[in-house]
Amino acid sequence: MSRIKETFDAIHAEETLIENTRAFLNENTGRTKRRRSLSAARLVPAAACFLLLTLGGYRYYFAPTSVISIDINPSLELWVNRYDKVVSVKEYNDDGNKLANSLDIRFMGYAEALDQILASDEIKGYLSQDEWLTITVVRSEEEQGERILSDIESCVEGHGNTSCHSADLHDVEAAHAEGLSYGKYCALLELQKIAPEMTAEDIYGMTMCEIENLIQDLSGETSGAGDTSGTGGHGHGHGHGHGGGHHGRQHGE
Amino acid sequence: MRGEQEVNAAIERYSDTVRRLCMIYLKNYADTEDIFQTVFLKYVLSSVSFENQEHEKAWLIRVTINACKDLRRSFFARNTVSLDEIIEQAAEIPPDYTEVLEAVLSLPQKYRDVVYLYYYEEYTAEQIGRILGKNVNTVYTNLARARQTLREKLGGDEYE
Repeated sequence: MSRIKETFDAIHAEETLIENTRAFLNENTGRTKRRRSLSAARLVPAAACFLLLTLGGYRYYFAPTSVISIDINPSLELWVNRYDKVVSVKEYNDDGNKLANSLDIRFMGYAEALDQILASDEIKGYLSQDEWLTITVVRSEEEQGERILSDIESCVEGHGNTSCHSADLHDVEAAHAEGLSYGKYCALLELQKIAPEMTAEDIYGMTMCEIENLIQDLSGETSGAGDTSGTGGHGHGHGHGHGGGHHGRQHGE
Repeated sequence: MRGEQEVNAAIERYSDTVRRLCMIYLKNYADTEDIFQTVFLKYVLSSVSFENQEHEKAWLIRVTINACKDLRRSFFARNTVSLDEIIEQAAEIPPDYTEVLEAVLSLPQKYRDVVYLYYYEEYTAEQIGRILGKNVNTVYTNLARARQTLREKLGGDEYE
């Protein structure tokens, strides 16, 4: 057996770590069950649904509870409601506009919508040029955000040059005022940690790959912030923030 | 949501894997606890249906790596910890192995994960590319550079 294998074989999870994790999950499972029972109650009577729809259900349905920001060079956002449906598609640059116009994903489940985006010629074209695709889930409801992130991580399995992250709405709420998608704004925040003088305007026209390369160049090797390929190089974006529990904004439709 | 029995089995099976990845990516034990909670909570909530244990393991590895990167990036500016402190996390590790552990943990981050996945988990470069979301050529390049550095630090290829 190699020495590396022997060495890692000697590392084990501590019992206290395992016990603490189990205790944490037990607490969380209890909370989840309560939420599930509310969800079940929501499903039941058709009459109640009708009432809900007529007394403001429209707004309720269209209120986004999570946003999936898809950034490569096209930047667009899928605004997802509490039923996991894409209620709005927002584009943040010309390429994003072009991509959004080529798709018909409104009112689709987010996973199916994402599949269509990943299968689009535009996205395939960018990835074949070694560009970097970043998918950022912005959460306003913790549980849904975690679930979407987990599903998306599975969705993009096997797609090269792709990374998934999450962000708290509170941390990125200034994005749209700066003219950036949430995902690109996260990249700007990372960049500003090492280059505070950088602005939204500076990165507006840059691809995610270019931004990450810039972060790497400015931070140097020690950050461990990604890699540069020997075959031309690309940046590797990482996540931004934990937490959640902030209210999604009503999006006028 | 997955049942308690399934979750306990996963904790039993994959805790050591998650722990080793934490060792590679993180700088302190408190962060390791956070990652354990995040990873296994995601497992509980995930609706992914695994084809087999290999698929399940690869999913957990990927989720752990992403969670570690997210966490590390959040604390990027203020977390500077020496290599000794990282190694101290593995309090139980026998002294014979500290030389190799030190050598691996002193590699740049982008080499550490490929070394672990290649030498310990015995994934191919293609599989590592899929897990890390990296181009396979990048994996080969990082692996070659890591191998070179380890050879210099440890002398020869015995560590392989």
